[in-house]
Amino acid sequence: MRYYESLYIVNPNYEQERLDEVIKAVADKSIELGFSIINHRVWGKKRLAYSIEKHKYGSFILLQFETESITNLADFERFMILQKTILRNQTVTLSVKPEVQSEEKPVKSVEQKETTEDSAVVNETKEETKEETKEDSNEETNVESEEDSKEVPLVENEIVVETKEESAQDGESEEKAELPIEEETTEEVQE
Amino acid sequence: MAFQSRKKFCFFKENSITEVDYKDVKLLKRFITDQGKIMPRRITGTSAKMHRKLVRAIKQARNIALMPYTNTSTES
Repeated sequence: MRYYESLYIVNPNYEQERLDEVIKAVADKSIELGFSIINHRVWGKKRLAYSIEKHKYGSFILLQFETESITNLADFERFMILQKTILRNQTVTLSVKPEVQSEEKPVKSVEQKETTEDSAVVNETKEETKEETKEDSNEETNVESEEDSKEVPLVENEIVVETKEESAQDGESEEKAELPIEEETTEEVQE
Repeated sequence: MAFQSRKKFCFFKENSITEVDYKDVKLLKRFITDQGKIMPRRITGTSAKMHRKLVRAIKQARNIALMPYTNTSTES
């Protein structure tokens, strides 16, 4: 017994029903040729490295089977090439018997767990970074506040002095400004 | 003053990988240039046995459009 793996690309625009039809047709043909299917699953919709028949994406489907006769492989290859729905196919030999994979659900659950763990780790790291940033910001603010507290009295004193001086000057000027008015009023009264 | 080159090692031997899967594009991309050419083993340092398997896997991946034959700047 030899093990083979056939990976084929189906038109990405097909809906799930039509994709299932293609998969069923391939499965029927492989059973007709005497292959015993080990795995037959959708690998996923992927971006192609180069465009095939003006398609940039493709639905990859993986078929793993075992057979004794090599002559049927040529017929299978011919069948795959003649299918218009299949963009490209490739059959390779496997040195080791492939593991039978059940439904995609367990794989997905494992991936989800991994993703949740990763996300938890990411969240932890984010929280740590936030705390660090908070601490840093607090330290900075403390330092700044201390500096401000040191500087403020001096500045205030200066300002106070200046304001006093200004107020003194303003008072004199105001008095000077007021005086002529009074003189004028006195003159008017005299007249 | 002469520069000392880093000692080369076989990636597959270090990681105890015996078979190269053509579907593992992430691994295969380590051994191609930006243009998409297969890097010679005098640069990568892979053993002759594993380099043969690697080349076969890259060519299979190219055939099924998982990896590019060439990677020109206009495509990307």
